[in-house]
Amino acid sequence: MNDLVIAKNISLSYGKLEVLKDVSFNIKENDFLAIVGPNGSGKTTLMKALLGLVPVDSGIFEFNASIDKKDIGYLPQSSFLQDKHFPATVKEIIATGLQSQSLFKFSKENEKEIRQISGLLDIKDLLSKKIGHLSGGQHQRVLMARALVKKPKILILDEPTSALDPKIREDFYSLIHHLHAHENVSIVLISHDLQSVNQFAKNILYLDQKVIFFGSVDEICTSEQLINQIGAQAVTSLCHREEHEHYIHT
Amino acid sequence: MNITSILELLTFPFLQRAFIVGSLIAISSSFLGIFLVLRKYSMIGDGLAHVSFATVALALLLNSSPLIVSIPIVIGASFLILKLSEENKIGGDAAIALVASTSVAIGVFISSLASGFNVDLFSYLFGSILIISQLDVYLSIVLSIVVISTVLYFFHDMFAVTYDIDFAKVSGIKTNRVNQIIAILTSITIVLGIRVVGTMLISSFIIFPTVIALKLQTGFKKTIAIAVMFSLFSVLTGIMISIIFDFPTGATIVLLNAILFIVASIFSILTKKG
Amino acid sequence: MKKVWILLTVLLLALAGCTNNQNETNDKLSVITSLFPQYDFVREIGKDKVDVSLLLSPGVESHAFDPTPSQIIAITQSDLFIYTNPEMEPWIDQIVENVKDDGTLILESSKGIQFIEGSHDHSEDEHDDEDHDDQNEQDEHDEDHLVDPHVWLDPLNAKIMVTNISNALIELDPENEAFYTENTNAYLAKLDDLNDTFEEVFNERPNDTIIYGGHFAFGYLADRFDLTILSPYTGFSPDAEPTANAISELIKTIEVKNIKIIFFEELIEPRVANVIAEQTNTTPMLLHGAHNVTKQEMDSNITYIEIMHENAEKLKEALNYE
Repeated sequence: MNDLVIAKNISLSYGKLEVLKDVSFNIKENDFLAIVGPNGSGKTTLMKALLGLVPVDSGIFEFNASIDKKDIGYLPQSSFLQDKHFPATVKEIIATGLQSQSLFKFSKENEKEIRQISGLLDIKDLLSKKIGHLSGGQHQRVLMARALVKKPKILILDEPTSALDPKIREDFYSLIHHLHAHENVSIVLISHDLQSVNQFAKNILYLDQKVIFFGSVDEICTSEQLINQIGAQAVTSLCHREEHEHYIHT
Repeated sequence: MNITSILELLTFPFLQRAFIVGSLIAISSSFLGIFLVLRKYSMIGDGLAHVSFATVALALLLNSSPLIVSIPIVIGASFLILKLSEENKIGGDAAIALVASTSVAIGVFISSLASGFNVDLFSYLFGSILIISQLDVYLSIVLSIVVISTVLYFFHDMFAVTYDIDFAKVSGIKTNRVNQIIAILTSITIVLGIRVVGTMLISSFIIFPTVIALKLQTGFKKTIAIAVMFSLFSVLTGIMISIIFDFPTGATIVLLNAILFIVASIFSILTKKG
Repeated sequence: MKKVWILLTVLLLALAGCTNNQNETNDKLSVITSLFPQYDFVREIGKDKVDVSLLLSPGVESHAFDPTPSQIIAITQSDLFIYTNPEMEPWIDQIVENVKDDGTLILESSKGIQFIEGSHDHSEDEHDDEDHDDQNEQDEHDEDHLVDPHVWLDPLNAKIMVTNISNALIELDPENEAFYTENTNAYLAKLDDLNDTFEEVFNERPNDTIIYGGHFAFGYLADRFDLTILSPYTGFSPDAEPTANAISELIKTIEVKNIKIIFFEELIEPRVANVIAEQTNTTPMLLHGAHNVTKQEMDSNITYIEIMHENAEKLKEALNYE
């Protein structure tokens, strides 16, 4: 299994505040990596650094030769409230995920790409609706479409279900699972939702400014460092894997 | 005022130029307005006009063309505003206020070097849509072509940067370059706008039509189209009204914009309730 | 290093010497005037017995002028400060306050002149019937700025100013009374001459309409000789826009009367005049209001009389259409 991204000794401070300290991990092909940790532990910042949105003080991200910018999809933390008044249709928003283009009108190929992803995410009938006139779940699916329209190899999701109802959450996770299992997308999921992490993750990165644990879900049960950090009960809820049939589409 | 005297008035070159140049500047400004308003740079028109105060003072001191002196310096000021609002985490509005007030002070300073204000400076900044030279007409045509074609060419990137600048960066768009393009287009529109229609009109052209169109809550491209329509309407109707009632033309156009804004606000309140 | 210090010291002394020049103890009167005409008058009357300087630097527009602290100090150190009238120099109170105890004589050179009405921005449209009523209303509300301050542009008023100045010089320097009186009389004769020229131009003219693209200063001549002045600015403020009707009326008048010349004032970019000229068959021409002169003009020692003669020539040409 190839590494798609290797992070080596990433350190980052905002002024005197050390946000990330010597963080190393990697993302493999067909991975499902969950990044967990308390609030303010640097999870979002770590992903932003990986995406090139914030500069690091030291350390490096190494990308596999087969990966370039268009191969990384990004679903940032929810902008549901801000978008309420933004003047744009769903189609226009999804289109911003397409490669940079110089024409006012969409090409035939672009139209096709948008149609395909809207079909997959079941938002075809929302295309001409305003972004501010959607429900939370619909809004999230639109931004997923934006992240996926260029068929990325890696998809980074930052707290994707925090603003969603439990029922919608389930649907959302089955979608992610589908992408992982059937479309060969490596998933990197930042989440507080330990149950979902427990359900789907192959690997876990537990972050609290520095790496407390990085390894597979199997290894996590016996991680002493983690047990010391968050207590045995919390570790159990992370490592105990329940096989829920209906989350796995065949 | 009867129909024949109105028609007669329309044969005068100065009025024909007012219609043409007014429309061109209004359209160009409407194409830019949305990118500025949504990024919270609404006051940039006003701010750069203050910078023009200093550049025109400098030009008059050096006895050179205000247009040639102003354009590079105003572009520089707009870049400075961009930099200040990004790097120092102060908002666009604070950055604009900083640069604008400093420029006014510099303008006052320069004027004092010439031992006093030049009345010419004030009349330059006020301008009038009715006092437009043949050269101004050509410049306005060139400006509109440049602005509109640039916006269309970079439209996808400009929209992406306006909606979500982080995502745009991630998808490989050179966001700095896009911001600079918007800054340059805004600068030349302001500098030329001040010269041909005066400060009051150009500031309102950049903001009003866009704000009115936003009230109607529709898609991005549609919003720009509506803004263009509203700005054209306000120019053409404003000039006509000022002819019929002998009102000052520039002020009439701006006030018409204000009335349209009120109407659009009422409309959006009513449609929300309904 | 030592050489640098010597050079600096020499420079400093030289600078000190320069600034002291204004206060050299000699027996010449030191006079400062606000505007160019009075400056020229003092030159003619006082000649080499008076040191006169102009408050406005060459090329500076007079209407929005405000004296700096160093200029106010310079005035307090002079013997005589001559201004035009409170409408032209509204900042005169500042000066008066600062020189009260100091002994500088302050002269309002317009004393004794019969003022005529004008509007607050010095632009006029006396014979535009539509605005006549507006002007009367304005009279009732706006008492301060009723007066046209450009008194010096009528040679008869200039004579009164010259007399005022001459009296002031004599008061301060009685020893040279004969000298000043002789020069004054000679200059008054030249002004009479100038007046004759204007009478010739205006009394024998075929027409009476002047087109002006800006702020008109020649109200006194217009009043005396019954000229019609038309300008796109019918409003009272320099910031007011000309209306479409005002401009079209102006253009129509120009075409109907076949007017060939549109005037503009000194020291500004004549945008309005140029644009109107572009659209009509007229030539833009400078009508020099003599508030101040350019550096070139100053260097070439131009005089009030020369400026006015030139103006007369141009007015003759302008009134000679049809």
